[in-house]
Amino acid sequence: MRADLEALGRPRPQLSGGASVDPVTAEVIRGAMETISFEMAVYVSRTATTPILNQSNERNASILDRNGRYAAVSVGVPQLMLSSSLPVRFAVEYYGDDIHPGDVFLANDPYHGGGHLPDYNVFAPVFAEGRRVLMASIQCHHGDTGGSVPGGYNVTVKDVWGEGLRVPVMKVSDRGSERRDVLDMLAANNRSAGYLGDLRAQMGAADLGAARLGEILERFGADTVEAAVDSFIDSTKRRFREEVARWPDGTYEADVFVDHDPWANPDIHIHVAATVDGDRLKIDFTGTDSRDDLQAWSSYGNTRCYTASQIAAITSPEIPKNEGFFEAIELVVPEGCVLNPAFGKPVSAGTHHPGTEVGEAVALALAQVAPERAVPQVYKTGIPTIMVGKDPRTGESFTDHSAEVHAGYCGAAKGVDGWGMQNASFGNLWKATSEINESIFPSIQWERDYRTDSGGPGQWRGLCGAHYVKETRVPCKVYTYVVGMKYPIPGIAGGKPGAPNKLTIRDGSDDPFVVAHTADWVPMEAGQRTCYDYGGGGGWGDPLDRDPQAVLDDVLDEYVSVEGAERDYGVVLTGSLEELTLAIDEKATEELRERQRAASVGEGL
Amino acid sequence: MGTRVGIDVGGTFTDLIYVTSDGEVVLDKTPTTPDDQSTGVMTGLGQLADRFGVSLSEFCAGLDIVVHGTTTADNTMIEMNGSPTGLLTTKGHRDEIELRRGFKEQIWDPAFPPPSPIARRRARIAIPERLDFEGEVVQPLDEDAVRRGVQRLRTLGARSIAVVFLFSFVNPAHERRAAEIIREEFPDVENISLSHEVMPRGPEFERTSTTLVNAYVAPRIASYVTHLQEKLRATGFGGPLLIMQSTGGVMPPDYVSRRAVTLLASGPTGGVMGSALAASRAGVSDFVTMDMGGTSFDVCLVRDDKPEIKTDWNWRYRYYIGLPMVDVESVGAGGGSIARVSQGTLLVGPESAGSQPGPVCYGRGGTRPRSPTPTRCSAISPPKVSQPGE
Repeated sequence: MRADLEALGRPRPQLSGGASVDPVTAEVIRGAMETISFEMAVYVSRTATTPILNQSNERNASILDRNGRYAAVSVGVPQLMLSSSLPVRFAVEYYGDDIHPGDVFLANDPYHGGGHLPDYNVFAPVFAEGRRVLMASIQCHHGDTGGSVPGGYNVTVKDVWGEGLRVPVMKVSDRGSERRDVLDMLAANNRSAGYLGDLRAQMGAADLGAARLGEILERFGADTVEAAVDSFIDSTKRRFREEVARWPDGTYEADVFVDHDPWANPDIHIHVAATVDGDRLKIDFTGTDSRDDLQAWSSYGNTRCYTASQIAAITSPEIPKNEGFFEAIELVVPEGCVLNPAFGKPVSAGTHHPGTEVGEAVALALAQVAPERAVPQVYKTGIPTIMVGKDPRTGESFTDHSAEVHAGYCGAAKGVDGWGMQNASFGNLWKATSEINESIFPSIQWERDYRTDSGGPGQWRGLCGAHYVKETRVPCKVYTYVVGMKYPIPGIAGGKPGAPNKLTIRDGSDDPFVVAHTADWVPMEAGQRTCYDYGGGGGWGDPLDRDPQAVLDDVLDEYVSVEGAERDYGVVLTGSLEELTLAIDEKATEELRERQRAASVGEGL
Repeated sequence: MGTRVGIDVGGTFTDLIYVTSDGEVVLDKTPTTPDDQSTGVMTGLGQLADRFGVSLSEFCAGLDIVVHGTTTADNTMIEMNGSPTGLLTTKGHRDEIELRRGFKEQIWDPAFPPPSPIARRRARIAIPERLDFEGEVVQPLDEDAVRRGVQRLRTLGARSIAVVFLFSFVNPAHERRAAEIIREEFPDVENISLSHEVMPRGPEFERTSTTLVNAYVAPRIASYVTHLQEKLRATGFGGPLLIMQSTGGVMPPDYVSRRAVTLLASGPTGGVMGSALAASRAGVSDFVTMDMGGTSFDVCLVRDDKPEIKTDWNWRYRYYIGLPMVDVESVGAGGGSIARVSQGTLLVGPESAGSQPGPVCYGRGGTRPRSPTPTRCSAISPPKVSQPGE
């Protein structure tokens, strides 16, 4: 069984046959839908059994209409949240009339619209006045998917079947009754003890969303709700096109690269051409790498949502997020390239790379027309670093996904230095801390502070990456895949790239293991440490235009060193950081900046 | 039951409620005096005394208790003009307050700015020390580093110091010892906020945020409350002065500096608690309280006579407050909030017209409609919404 993914991605019909709704009512309905999405997401956080959901919030809720168009989305990680529409569309077509009140569906298969196997889409239909009107959808990242490797990321397996259990779509509840046989089968194919608890949290959230939406339909009537959904999708499309119309016509290209795949095949190439034609925008990935022996594949659904979420970040944040974005973007992704893999390719790590490079490429292309906010809303990590061992406190084996706080990859935008821990598009993730994870896993986090000089220089500075040191208190093994060493996060509008990644396992021992591409269960003894220098964010604008006072402040705050101020910003300081007597040597700064400007003429030509 | 006065200092008015010994209720109000809120409080008490034809001293001497809600903590955070504050924290964890566990309020806006810092990175001092999750010492406290850190903070101009060590809520020994050293090195420090006292639980971001806010607002509140108490004592008031907390309870003035952070939303919380009491007497158990001011509209859900208490996700002024708070939801849509149309969507607030010149309906030169007016005046017409088929 296979789905035509590009056909699933095409625009879907509107709901209403021309019924009207006043703008205030439409806005009230939209607000209610966003609130319901939020309540569904919180429901998962409060009821799920594993930390990835009940601590880290890796769950996304959305409301779709009966045709699988986004009506409203709320909290979540945009590039994941926006990947829940294709599985819903596939389900609607697959089941046809066999969709009933009280049904709850599950889908995770990347070849039927999903992102990758760990991302479970669970959704429930909402009926009113005898017809199906809406779909409440909740998406969660599960800590295990079956397959041969714990943790859901098998980065070296040759096909999707080795990655774990594929579910194109199935009913986990049938007309209000949980399907015990189905849940037991799913649980039998999963290592995680908390798996069923997480899945039931998700099913409960879908039920809750359906019930709440039922109340909205009862209050306003199906005709009014349908007209409202049409009106705000249409409004988003119109507002988006108004922005595109302000961009100069032309084709804007960008090329970005992933260092290597987990087999060390080098330089995976993403090419994009963004064509602006009046108020129309076409995003075309023709020319992207299609080497068949690669091990880096982003599913079509994943590519599609990374494109839309990056473009949403570049346009006005006030535009309500819904199907209007997808309807206003023409997307071309040739089948067989790494962004639309041939059937059966493994994709678990592809949501990360080359998935994030989709956002990066789109940002770099559109930076040529709308540089102010064209900040790649991505990361350059590889996959989470997984540590597996046996915890002597419990006698049980543990899988630590290193889902902890660590800064990285957060770029500056015009007028705002990179800040916090990560890009805005991860703002809903709530990362675990030392006090949480040291209580759960047998390790100690010695350091995770910002790393001086790792933020990309610019008129606005990229955020520094973390210097992250973790000691294991028991013997364990480490599994990971690292990129961003050769190709770090780029700067925008003359800004410089952030510092690259570097991961050393058994750091400080006489047998250190510096990760070149993957760590395939590298053993560590109790008391040994990993040291991960996470990459910095990119700068925005020419660093020689940065206000010298801001550079001095950065040095006092140790985001930038005294040497870095001179080298990267042309700012000469006198006095001592230790004694807090630093001051700007204005004359020397002016002279140095002049020399550096002269030296950079012709750079990049 | 003796005589009682409740005083709520709001942004515009200072409201007073006087309850006599036989249960009679007298209300009064006077303009708030932002420079020194106690001036308005004493004026209000004077007005009450006048009503009964007695002197302020006689009136105050006859009071058994004064309960006070104040906006001092909120104003400090709105204006970000608290005490210059430094942080001593476990080495390797100096940046928790900036990292914020990854949270940003806007997930779609790469240009969304960071919160105003309470302690910039230079004022966050890394101290070598470490406990594990059971409170066992993995690395002893480096006392010299604490001394050097305190001296550095003095040089930077800090007046208040927060101390946050990992797992101090399991074993507070290192934080307590650091406090002793701070007192030796910096005898006139205005406030020392120890994380295990302010918020005795994990995780460290929440505790750091809460402790920093406490250290930042405590000196100003403590000095205000002390000042008010002195003024009341000078009039002959001999009873207890109690300060309204965001938990719905009250606390004595000498407790304020340790838990100043619980004075955030002190005023609105008092309104909720009073409403709950009044409604309960009227036989109503389930209801919503509403408090409409000039710039905000405060709402709280009360079920079974009990206001909702929220124990997590309490963000105030972009800082996480990891303590229970009465769940007063505040939206920026008060009586003076400006209504506008943005790209075809009708929006209200959070910008407020204020009182001068005020919204268009005041007729004093304002040009923009406030929240209730769009339906009554034709300052705007409904935006056109495209319909299918257009």
